[in-house]
Amino acid sequence: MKLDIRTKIIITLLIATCASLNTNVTVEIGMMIFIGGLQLMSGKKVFSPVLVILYAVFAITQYAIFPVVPGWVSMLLSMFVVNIRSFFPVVMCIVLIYRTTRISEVIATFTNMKVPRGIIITIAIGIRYIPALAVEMRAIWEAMSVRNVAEGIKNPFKRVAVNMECYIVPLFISSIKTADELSAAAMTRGIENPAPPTCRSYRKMSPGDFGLIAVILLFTAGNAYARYKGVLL
Amino acid sequence: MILMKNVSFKYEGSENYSLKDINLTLEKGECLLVTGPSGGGKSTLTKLINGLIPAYFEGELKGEIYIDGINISDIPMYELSGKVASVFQNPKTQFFNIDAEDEMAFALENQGVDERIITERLERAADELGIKKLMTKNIFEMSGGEKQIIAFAGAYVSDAEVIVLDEPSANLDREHMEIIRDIMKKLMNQNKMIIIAEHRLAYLRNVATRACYMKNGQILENFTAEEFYGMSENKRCEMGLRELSAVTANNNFETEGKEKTDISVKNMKLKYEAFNGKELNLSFNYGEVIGIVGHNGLGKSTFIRTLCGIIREKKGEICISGRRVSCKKRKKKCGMVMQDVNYQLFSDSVALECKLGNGQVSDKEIYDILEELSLLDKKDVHPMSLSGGEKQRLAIATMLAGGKKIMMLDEPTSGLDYENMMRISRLLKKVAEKGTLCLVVTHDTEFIREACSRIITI
Amino acid sequence: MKAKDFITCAIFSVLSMVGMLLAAITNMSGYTALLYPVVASFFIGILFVVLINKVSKKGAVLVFGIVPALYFLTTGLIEGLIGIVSLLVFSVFSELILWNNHESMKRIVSACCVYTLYYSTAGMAEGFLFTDSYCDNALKHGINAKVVEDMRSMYYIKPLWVAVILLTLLLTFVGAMWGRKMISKHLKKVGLV
Repeated sequence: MKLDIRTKIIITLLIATCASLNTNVTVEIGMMIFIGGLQLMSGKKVFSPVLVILYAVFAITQYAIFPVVPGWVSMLLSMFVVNIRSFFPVVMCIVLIYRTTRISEVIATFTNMKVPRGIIITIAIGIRYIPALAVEMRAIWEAMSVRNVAEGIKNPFKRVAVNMECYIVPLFISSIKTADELSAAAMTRGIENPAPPTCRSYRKMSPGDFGLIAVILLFTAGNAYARYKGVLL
Repeated sequence: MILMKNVSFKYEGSENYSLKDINLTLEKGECLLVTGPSGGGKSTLTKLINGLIPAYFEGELKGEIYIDGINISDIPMYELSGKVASVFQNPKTQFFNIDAEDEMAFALENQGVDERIITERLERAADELGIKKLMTKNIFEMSGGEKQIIAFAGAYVSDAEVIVLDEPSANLDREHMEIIRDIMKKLMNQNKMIIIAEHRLAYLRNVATRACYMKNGQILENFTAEEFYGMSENKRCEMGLRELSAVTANNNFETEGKEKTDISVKNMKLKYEAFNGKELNLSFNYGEVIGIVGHNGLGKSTFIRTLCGIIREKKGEICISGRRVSCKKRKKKCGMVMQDVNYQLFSDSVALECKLGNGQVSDKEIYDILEELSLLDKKDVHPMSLSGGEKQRLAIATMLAGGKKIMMLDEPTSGLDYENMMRISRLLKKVAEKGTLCLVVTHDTEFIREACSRIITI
Repeated sequence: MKAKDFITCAIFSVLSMVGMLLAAITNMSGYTALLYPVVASFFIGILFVVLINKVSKKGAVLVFGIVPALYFLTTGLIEGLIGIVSLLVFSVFSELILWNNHESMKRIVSACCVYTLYYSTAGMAEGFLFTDSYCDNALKHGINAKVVEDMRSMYYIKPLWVAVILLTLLLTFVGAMWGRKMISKHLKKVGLV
């Protein structure tokens, strides 16, 4: 199943709205199953069993464990558990977008929608840089772990400051160098051409896309109505 | 044809000219190899031809550059990008897209080329270059060599008349160098003009049709391919050039360790399916410089990171002086020079960088180390302003200051010219003589021949 | 702004998301949730100063807010749109402060303080202005009743909001000074800004 990027963005928006309106765990589990189904239909590598397991852990913690443990445990952890748990449907949607959307698709679709070129470049690079940033942060962490940069410093505030500086400095230098090198490479590939690029990866929205949006829109409207009327709480 | 007439260039804020009075012509079907010591102006020359100077790098430009009769300063860079395709040294930061096929098509899309033509060219490139499977991957699933192949394929697909290559083989093993050499041959058969700035010269034998030697911003000597690859060994060393013929690293090398074992690896399995899950049994001794060789993407970097304690081993044990050592303890005993040394330089001066984490070491001891590594005159310089070879030496200095007896180095000579490669070789041999074990992951066969007492092929 | 400026702003925008996610640790407890804008503004302060030194052009602040704006959409349609519009307003004010002078440190720090005011004003408005509905909603979502009641009591103390705003401004200033120090100590020496 191949969903249009616009469909995926609209689904994420609507699911996020449902997640903030909904307070019923059954409805939430239903959302998780639905999005999980969309992920499975989009390809093997799209579905994330880890997320589903984590969601189950959080949901069980909130609904089965908190009621039976001492009150202070729930006091300490409830906000953490609830905030993370209620965000899972949105995270599943973001994973669906990330694992099934190519940057060329984003560029082609937004170009067709007449989004300004600068914003398209920003969004494309934003998507492009996230995995690269993860690699960089990992490399810096590894370098820091081998060198104990704060050794010999007794003042705890200074230790924190030195550690922070040692994370931030190479990260910033690397980020700026990446920006410079990426820009140079992109310029040699004609990114500054004012004429619209070929939208090779552009596809029109299919009836399936519209159908799916309609279903989730109805679901969202249902959630809003239920919330307004105070049912399904 | 490319024509450069009396071209000089000075970067903004610089006092000296990076290029002085360059005169150059290049015809269709020619491949010009530009070589020479680091800082000689090779990269600057390539940036002039692909238009990055002055569009991206500002400065004072004199002279004229013509491609097929058009003065390139008269056309905007995006128009020039239709005539000139570029491949850069760092495969990580030259891709705008994440997917290989999209990256190959990117330049054509920006030019507004018809979708059918793009598809046709992609299919042709997939067949002619044999990269159909590679085109389905994303760049985070690829090794450095595979990324460079895709970068070359992008230049191939673009059908640009001029291909500019800036040290494209810096991080590649022999197998991938041969693949890109074949792509270059195919491009020349299509009558393209190729300019390649390179330190590694052997793989370009029978590809380059001409060569020029640059130093201090000037072209000091021009050669035909026969003259260049036929030059004497003495002249090559005098000019500070790398080997002109392929060097094998396997001759006369021990692969087995001595009976006494200071550090041993027993039944070790690595994470991330490195070495296809094979169990490793190896032994090392202090005082050795050991080259670890193997194809790109096999897991050599994972191996040394595991030895260093950064990654936990999946199975097995690592023993130092007969005793099993945990990850945490290995981190204290080992030091590592990473493939990208920029991630491990944190301070704002060379001297302070050595002092970081080594508070108990006196200033005098640090200055002695810096002097030994020819860095004392740069003690107040910011580490990130050092050259590649200097950064490598600084990373080694920090380990010496920390008293590390086991050093791991990941591709330390990548992108280094002959002189800097020899410097690193001599340094490691010196360090090993004082009782340090140096494990070096490398593809650089010249370096292996110079520095290593033993190689391990995994 | 040219392509390279958009690319630089995009990268810094992603880094600002990282800063916001780190600051979101404070949201994991009802007793520290008020510190979110304070912690976030410290990281944003560092990034903002470095970015404006690197991309000293009109529009840099607006582009800097794009990735966080996309993140706000994941909080829901209504909340997301309110968040985006509020961030846009504060970004515009920030741009106006910088308008024709991106070199003056005073202007950069002032613009930065206005930008991060979003987090402590619009970002906290729902809690402080619609306390009961905000806390009732938290209760319905399953947050511990005692925690919710303590949060309610905190949000009723309107001077606390002023304290949060002032602390945010202070930490923005501290972050901006850190950014400035990083520029002079590192980035200028390496020739990156």
